[in-house]
Amino acid sequence: MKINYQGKERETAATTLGELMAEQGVDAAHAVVELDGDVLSPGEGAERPLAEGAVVAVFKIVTGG
Amino acid sequence: MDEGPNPFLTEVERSRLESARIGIAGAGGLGSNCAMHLVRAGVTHLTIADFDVVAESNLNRQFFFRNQIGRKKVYALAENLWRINVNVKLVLLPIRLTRENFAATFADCDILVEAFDSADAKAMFLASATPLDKPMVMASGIAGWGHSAEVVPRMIGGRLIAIGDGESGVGGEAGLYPVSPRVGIAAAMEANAVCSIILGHQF
Repeated sequence: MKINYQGKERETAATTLGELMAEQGVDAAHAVVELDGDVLSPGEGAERPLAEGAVVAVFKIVTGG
Repeated sequence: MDEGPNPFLTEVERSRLESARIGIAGAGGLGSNCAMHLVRAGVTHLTIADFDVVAESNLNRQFFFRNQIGRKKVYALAENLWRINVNVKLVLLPIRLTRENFAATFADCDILVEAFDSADAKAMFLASATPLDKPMVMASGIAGWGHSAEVVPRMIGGRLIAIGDGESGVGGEAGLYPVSPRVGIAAAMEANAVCSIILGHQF
């Protein structure tokens, strides 16, 4: 299925947000994810289903301040 | 009447900046410098929480001085902020912020600033602050040198402004560490984002 990930069209085998994060190597506990306009706090929404054309944006949370 | 440190403000700008109550979670590289910029800009109400004390290694980027080593950061920061504007009203909390005490700590605040160091604490901020339905400003990916143009602000979902490249963390394979120029850019951008929210400008 094709989704928009970080502004680019991408093919994915993932059917949930959690699977997509694992596929992309994103540490979901340390990321803010925007899925089709919904903002999910770190670690939230792993069970959310991905639909064809889903728009996903990830902002990683890393140490430093 | 004392017009404070920013005589360039219009009456409307001054009124808005002096009415806003800003909560800052952390008083390290981000929080101390963000607070300094906010006070210079004309903000007069800050709530600042941080359990830590000033260490020598903090002087590479944080708004503290050598004679303040060993003191609680919130009290040392207050002293420095009052040297800019003696009329600033500060709520100073030398506590460790948690999911449990976060909402009560910042109940009176209009805008919340994430100014922690560790990724775990930043994640805690988001989990705690998001349900409070207030504008939020955070930073992630600000370690190392150079790449100034990659430290960008982005709006996430209409209520969160996230600053940084989202990649450059402390440590990792690149062995990055936090230094004043890049952390300072992010802290200034956090303050600029807060002011833009207060004054109704594009972030």
